[in-house]
Amino acid sequence: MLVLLSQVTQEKAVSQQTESQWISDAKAGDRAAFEQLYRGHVGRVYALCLRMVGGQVSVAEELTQDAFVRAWQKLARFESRARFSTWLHRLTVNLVLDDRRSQAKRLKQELHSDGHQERAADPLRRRPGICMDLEQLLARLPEQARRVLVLHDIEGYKHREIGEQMGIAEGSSKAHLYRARQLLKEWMA
Amino acid sequence: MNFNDKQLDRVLDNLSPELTPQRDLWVDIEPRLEDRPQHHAGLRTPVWAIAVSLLLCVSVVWWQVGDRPAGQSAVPLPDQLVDADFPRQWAEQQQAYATEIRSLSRMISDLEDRQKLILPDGIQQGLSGILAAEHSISKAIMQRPQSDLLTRKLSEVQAIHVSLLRRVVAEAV
Repeated sequence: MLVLLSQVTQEKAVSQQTESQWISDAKAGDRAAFEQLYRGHVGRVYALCLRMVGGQVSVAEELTQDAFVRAWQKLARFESRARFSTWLHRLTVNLVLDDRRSQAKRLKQELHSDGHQERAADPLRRRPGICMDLEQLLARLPEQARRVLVLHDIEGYKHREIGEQMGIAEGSSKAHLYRARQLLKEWMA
Repeated sequence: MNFNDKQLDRVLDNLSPELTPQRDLWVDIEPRLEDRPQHHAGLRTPVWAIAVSLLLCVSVVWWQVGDRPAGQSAVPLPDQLVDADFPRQWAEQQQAYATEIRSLSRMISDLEDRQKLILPDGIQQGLSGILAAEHSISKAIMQRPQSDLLTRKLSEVQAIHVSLLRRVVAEAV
């Protein structure tokens, strides 16, 4: 057991060392090193984007690409004392929230015109009680409530941090989370 | 079946933290990396300027304090320093400076906490240099409190300090 633990610790140290090397190479302009960083982190970044935008694959893909392009541009600001994954994660959350804010008007219009049709055809609404895949249920949550739930319950952010990042009060963040959880429980029953 | 909070937590905990995109996104990312802008380009030049200014300041301090016998000033004392009001003005100026630096430092620390700002090494080195210069000049002023040149140099370094912090905050906000 101890041997296994020490092996795991060693592997982790080696992988951290490798990542540090990739970071410093990428900082110096090495795109191959940056590709390694991309390969190592794309899964988490994409999952975050996809959940935050309610399962819209093409939007999530675009935001994931933007997140890595922005990470490349800002890499000089990254300091090795911070964890790269945490830094990248924060950068992605900021990017997604900024993007959503800037497109709020367009989204509102889309929801107004297409949303009604989409909702009418929503199998979940027609057949309440059906136990669908959780990812699909997350996508059905109201936008703000979904973002708060993703950030709080899945990504581990505090309400204070969510409030700051989303530009809402801490209390509103709690209210959105409560609503999201109530809806999920109702749908999963 | 009624779903309770514990059950929901369990389901949420089981969600994978990673999802694989349906296609390789790198092919679209790589071409966009060519236009990598030089970050803090606006701040890099001042860092060099700061380094040069600090070097000058520190040489002035050494020249002023150096091995000269006490009481022998390299620069004649200007009239303003014998003005009785000067100590009060100087104290007020120092207090205003300390307040501004505290407020800017708090803003920077807050921005860092929220990960909206990560100070590059160059800026941090610049700030360390500024602090070191401030310290040296302040020490020299204690030895020669009436030196106009030293007080002027300290004001200059403090102005550089405030200006750099303001630019860091402005860039992040």
